[in-house]
Amino acid sequence: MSEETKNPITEKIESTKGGHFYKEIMKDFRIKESLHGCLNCGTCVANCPAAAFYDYSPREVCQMIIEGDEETIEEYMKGKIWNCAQCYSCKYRCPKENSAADIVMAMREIAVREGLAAEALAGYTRIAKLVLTRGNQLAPDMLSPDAFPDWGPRMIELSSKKMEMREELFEGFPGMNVVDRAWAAEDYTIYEMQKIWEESGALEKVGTVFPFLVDIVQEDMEDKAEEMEAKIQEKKEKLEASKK
Amino acid sequence: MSYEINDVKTGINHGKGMNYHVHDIRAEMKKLEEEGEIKIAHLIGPYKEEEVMYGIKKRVPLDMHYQHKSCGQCANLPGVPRSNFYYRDKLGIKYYNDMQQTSCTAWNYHASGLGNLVQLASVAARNWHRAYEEGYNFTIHCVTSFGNYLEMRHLLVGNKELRDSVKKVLAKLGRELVIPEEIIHDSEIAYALRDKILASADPKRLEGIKGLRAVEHYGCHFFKQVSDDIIGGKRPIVVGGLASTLGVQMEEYSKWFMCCGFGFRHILVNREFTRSAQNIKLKAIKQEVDPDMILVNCTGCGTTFDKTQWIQKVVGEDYHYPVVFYSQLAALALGAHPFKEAGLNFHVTPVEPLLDKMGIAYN
Ligand code: SF4
Ligand code: SF4
Repeated sequence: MSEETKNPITEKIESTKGGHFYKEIMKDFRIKESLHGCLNCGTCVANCPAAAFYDYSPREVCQMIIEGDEETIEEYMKGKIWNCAQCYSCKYRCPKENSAADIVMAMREIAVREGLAAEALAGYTRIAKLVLTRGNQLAPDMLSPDAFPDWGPRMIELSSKKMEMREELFEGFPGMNVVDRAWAAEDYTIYEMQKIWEESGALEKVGTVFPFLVDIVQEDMEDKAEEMEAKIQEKKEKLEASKK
Repeated sequence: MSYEINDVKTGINHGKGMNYHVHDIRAEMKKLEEEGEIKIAHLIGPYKEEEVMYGIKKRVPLDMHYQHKSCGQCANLPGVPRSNFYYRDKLGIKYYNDMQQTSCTAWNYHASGLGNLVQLASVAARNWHRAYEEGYNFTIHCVTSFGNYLEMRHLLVGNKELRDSVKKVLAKLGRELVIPEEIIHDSEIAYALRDKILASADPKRLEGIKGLRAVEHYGCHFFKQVSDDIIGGKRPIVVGGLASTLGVQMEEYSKWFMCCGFGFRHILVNREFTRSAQNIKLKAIKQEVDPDMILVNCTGCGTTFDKTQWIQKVVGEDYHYPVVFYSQLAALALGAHPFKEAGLNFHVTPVEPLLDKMGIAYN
């Protein structure tokens, strides 16, 4: 992809089609790279695990953007986009190098922004919280047997012995034997992560689904701000000096 | 170190809109570096060249490895990062297990749509910068991170608007945009070191590995998300390549390409999908091969294969294939204790029958 690249296909559709969701989707610069016309050949569908089990089709995703049909787009925005497994098999196999995976990703972002994702993200609170307060996405504590009963009897055994087992495994590797997060990222690191979410506008977006989380993160940041900002200032000065 | 660029190779469409040509991202990075738009974290120390698509050479660093960890592995399959450390210790490779790194947050992004590209790319660039400021080569444990970093590099190199937004965020942290010369997954390193691993292996262990039959499965984000920078070309070879070097007999099965069913969000909230996809893969593996183990390189796939076999009893299937990561195999070959040093006891599909067959004591 290059900045000057023009894609006559997306440009033509852009200028002729309407609809709110459609316009929002077309603003994402990835769409230009993800659609180069569609043969309706179904190669993507044949390789799509979501299409095997759901009323969902990557061919339809590409066609609906080319058609600009707001009704189908809405149907996808309100539910079907969450069926996609984000496996990129469609992109890999498409003879036109289209990527329904990327189109779906752009649509998921918009669904969250537009407040359409509450149902899809129910049950996602713990992970979102961990990302924003620990800098990790997963912790041993989250893998409790009651949350994953289908993972079998060994999960129960593992869960009760995980502390000793981890201690044995990670002897001599500081920061690795923790259970409330994946590794013990430093406070300063977590603060940097939170600042990225804030500065990029991503934190605000989290507020459309989990408003309480935004409060938690902002309070956490305020508590640490003075000490952490002093550290950042030091870093900035060091960086400036290295440029001279 | 001199820097050779493999430029435009051949005339087919390569995702560049309607411009029909192939590009090597390294050439574009070099151009941006010359223009002062980005910095490149050039490789430190010795490297080995391996071929990716169109014959382009990818340089795999052989020393000074920044260990960018996988949250899924550390939480759920901790034997994998431990094995990654283990094979480096055995081969005398210097590495850095940094506690100032964060998750890549790509699992979150693909599962939930929370976050945005500026956030995702800034998190990537902050982690890259950590390796750069510490003087290490950035190397990656997780396939989700690997695919994400390949994509973030691609987008950052190709889109000035994104680049500028990310630079602004980084400036607020006292950091700058430094893109690694190579985006390297740990399984690519283990593959590049395969002869060294073989030479340093415990002969008794090799005896146990010899003739084991295995199938391999690669994470979709290892080779489908960005598919032009994968050692071996369009179909990955690193896991099977390492395993067969160590004496494993690699077998083919018809569903090798199919997604494991992890689905990022499905493994959490739609596991009936995960289980159904798994059943298709496992059925093909059983009917066509019935191997001693399934070899993987991806956090999500390793989790899915390991955790989703037991429940298949519900549909009358009895699967029992130990799931082993490439680095756990390497660690075993090098003499690691299967539980205390390779962490195979964290897997829920029993590994004991495999260890018995290999003649490795575990208790
Ligand atoms: S594989 Fe590509 S060209 Fe064929 S139907 Fe799917 S999107 Fe269209
Ligand atoms: S990324 Fe989504 S649409 Fe594409 S093949 Fe995978 S599940 Fe289907």
